[in-house]
Amino acid sequence: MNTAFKALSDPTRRRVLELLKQGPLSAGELADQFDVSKSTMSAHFAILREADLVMSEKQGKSVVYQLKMTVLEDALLGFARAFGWELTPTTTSEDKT
Amino acid sequence: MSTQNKKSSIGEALAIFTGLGLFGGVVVAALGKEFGFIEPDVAKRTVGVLFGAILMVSGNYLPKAVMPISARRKNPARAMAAERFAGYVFVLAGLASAIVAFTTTAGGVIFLSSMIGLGAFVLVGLNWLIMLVGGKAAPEQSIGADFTQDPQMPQMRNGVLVILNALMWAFAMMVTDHYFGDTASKWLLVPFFIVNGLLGISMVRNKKKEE
Repeated sequence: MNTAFKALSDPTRRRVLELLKQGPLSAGELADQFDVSKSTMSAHFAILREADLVMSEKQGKSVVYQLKMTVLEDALLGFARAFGWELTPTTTSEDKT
Repeated sequence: MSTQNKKSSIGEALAIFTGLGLFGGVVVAALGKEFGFIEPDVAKRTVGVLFGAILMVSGNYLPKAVMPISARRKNPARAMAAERFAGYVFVLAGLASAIVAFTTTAGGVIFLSSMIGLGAFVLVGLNWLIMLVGGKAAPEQSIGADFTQDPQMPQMRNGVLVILNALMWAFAMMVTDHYFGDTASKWLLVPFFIVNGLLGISMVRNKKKEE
């Protein structure tokens, strides 16, 4: 659960989860939605996978992600988004490397 | 074993133990009532609360026990939305069912909590039907063909589906018992075993595919 809290504490990762609510998306499609480098996005994806909040599958050359959240984790995401909850320094649109 | 797989296994084991523990509680309450060491009213309330708790736990895990995208035949976005909806409905209905079992008059405990549980299954079933009718994948949304991995069904999904199926028939039997009597409710064991058998066959086939 600790890794889930960590994963949900970042606005970029929360936005990734919100985008995945509309359906499975490839890593490229998700990265296009953010103004951050690919390596930063990869780190975000790794944290989300580590927290077991997303499931990834290879499709040809790309990786497709889909949500893997319990109702409780989904509700936590809603709370985190509503209250702008952040535990760690943010890695948002400004940190383009 | 990767960290993610390890965590997934721990989660599955926890879910299984929680499920077994709750079912164990139901059996103890039923036996306690039968042998007279638990008051019938207390036993009824305990069974109602535990059934509500099982529905909550199963509903909570349902959207997490996701099917691989490559194994989905229909539009995956709609199917996932339907599963998320089902998860929320089961959690809320389980909570309502447990609260009602704890607070209502002793005579209405089983009937009221079962009606709430059965209502949740009907609502989820209707939503699923709407998804099946309107959710056919458009050509550009076709899935499965390009995936390089074989789809692997998570074991947790099978467990959650078996528990939910058992719970649905238990609620149906209790409601039928209330309206039509004991004999009619026993007849529901026939479709229960048929559906359970079909679920078992489908799981064995998936397991063989994985191997």
